[in-house]
Amino acid sequence: MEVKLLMSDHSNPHIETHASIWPFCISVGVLFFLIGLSGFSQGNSPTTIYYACFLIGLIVFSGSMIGLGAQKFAGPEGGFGEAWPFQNIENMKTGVWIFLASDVVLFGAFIGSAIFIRVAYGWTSWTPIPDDVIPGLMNTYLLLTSSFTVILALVAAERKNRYGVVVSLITTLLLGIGFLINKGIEWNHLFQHGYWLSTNVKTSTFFLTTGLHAAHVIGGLIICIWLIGRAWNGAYLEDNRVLEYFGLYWHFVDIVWLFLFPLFYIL
Amino acid sequence: MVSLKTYTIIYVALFISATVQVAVEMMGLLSTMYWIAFWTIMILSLLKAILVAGWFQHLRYEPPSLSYLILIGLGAALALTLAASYSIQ
Repeated sequence: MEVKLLMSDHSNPHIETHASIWPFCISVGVLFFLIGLSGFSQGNSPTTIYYACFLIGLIVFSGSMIGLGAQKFAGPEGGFGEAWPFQNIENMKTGVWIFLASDVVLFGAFIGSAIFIRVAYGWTSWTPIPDDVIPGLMNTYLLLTSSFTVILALVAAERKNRYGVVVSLITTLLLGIGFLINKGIEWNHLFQHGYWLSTNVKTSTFFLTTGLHAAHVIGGLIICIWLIGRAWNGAYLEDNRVLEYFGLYWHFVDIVWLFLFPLFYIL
Repeated sequence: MVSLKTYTIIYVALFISATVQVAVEMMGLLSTMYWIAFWTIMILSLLKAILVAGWFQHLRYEPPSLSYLILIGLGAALALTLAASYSIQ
């Protein structure tokens, strides 16, 4: 009854926000982005219309994400936050973990389908796409080290060391960029040798699964740039929870790679 | 919560473990005894994941409900993968 009254009373300053245009705009951006991407295939250079769709989609998507992030909204408070089974855990942290659980399912679907296809093909007659394991190992080192530098940022924040936080985050950013450059070189090498997404089912699973992971790395690095800017201005020394939550995401991306590396490079 | 020393030890362990995984491949164990090499590499990955989740993500120090949350997602994905793969064996 009380909730109903609140929702119908638009003059109430504490009313919850119920509608936002941004999720719809994000969907429109993704639609154009994917239509544009569909024009990029092996041997065919995309026509201008596909390039235009790709660019418009990317701009609309990025702008809408920023719009969503910047939008102020009021959420309901109290009563059902930090309740069983997540009592004594901050709501934001529970939210991050629920997001990570959904990402476990997402990667589970991609890795699971790759495993299923490989079993159907004949597990031991399937060999990894990359002929050299070393670039994959280098990327493992880069990602493990970047996880460690996020930890160092957290430790520096606990010690109220602004310089330490900034340097650790910049190192994380550089290591992440190194990971992407290395992956770019590797993919380019594979493209030169005639391996493309649509070459066969083996290359499809390889590029899709490692590409999904790389997209997560890119997402993490964008957040990292944001954190560096804020840390530069002295944020996170009094309250380092945001650094911890970013770490949760970044370590998750690291864990995913710990399984992608053996499955797609070694075995 | 966790000391810098512990974090560093875990990082070194992760680094060495990744190297061992590649060493197993480079020693040619995958061609001579594939399944032993396979399980060695996968168990090492699992141990690394436990180290990262337990200490770097502090799950060891959080209420267990967060771990169950992740395990439910993981269990669902694993169950589907194993059941689907088993069905075509």
